[in-house]
Amino acid sequence: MKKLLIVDDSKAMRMIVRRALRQANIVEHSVEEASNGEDALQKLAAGEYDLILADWNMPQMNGIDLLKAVRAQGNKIHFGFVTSEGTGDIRDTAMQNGAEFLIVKPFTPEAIYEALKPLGLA
Amino acid sequence: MAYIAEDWLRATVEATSEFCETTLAMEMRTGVDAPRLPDNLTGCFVALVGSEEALQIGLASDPAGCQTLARTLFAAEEELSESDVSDALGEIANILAGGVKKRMAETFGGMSLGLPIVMEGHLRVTDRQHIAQLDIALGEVPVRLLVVCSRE
Repeated sequence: MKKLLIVDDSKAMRMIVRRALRQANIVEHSVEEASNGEDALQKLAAGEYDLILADWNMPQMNGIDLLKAVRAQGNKIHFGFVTSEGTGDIRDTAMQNGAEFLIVKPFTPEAIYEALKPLGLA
Repeated sequence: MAYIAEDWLRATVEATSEFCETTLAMEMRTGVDAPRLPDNLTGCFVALVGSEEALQIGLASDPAGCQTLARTLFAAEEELSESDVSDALGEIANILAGGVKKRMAETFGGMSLGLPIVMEGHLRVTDRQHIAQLDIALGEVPVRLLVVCSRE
């Protein structure tokens, strides 16, 4: 069983991502949640995960700073964004810093499936 | 290029339609079928700020409508807390503002999204600001889409 970490300050959005995973028939993984980048780093320090699905705009530590912090630790965990920030420059920044995909809200379960499939997680 | 509030409102309507189809599974209706709303509303705004433009994108409804929208988003049957309703409204406004940003990116690149703020009451603007609004229905929920921007 793989472990996924959803990082979003919105409880509603964390639930939407969970629902989309189920609707995409990605049900075999364990899913945990964090409410911002700092919270995510604490969870990463306490256990191993296979994928981070992070929002971009969050209080305390945003998504791109989380990604930079994770990569600075030498952690090669799969990392993707689920965000309202869908413009080209945001996408470029994400990829240059080691993200593997960026899903723009609003999204469909198919978008989640297509993003996770190349990583062997769907 | 000068854009007026109605242009931004048009992008907001398109973003709302997309959100309804992909996430809420609700039909969006505009025009004569849409129910009228009172001025005293609960809503949420997200700022969209760039070097040339600064505006607020928002949506509002009556308390029952906000509860229904939040429960739809959470897929919840039970009554939700005020905190959860605010969270849901914030996420909806965030997604709509992101959709507007995406649609206007060719003209206004480099705009940034602010954090959602929830409001109750009626909106007051200064002489230097302009509001464009449209009453729509999401399923059976009456919703007012709002754009506040500077007067040209």
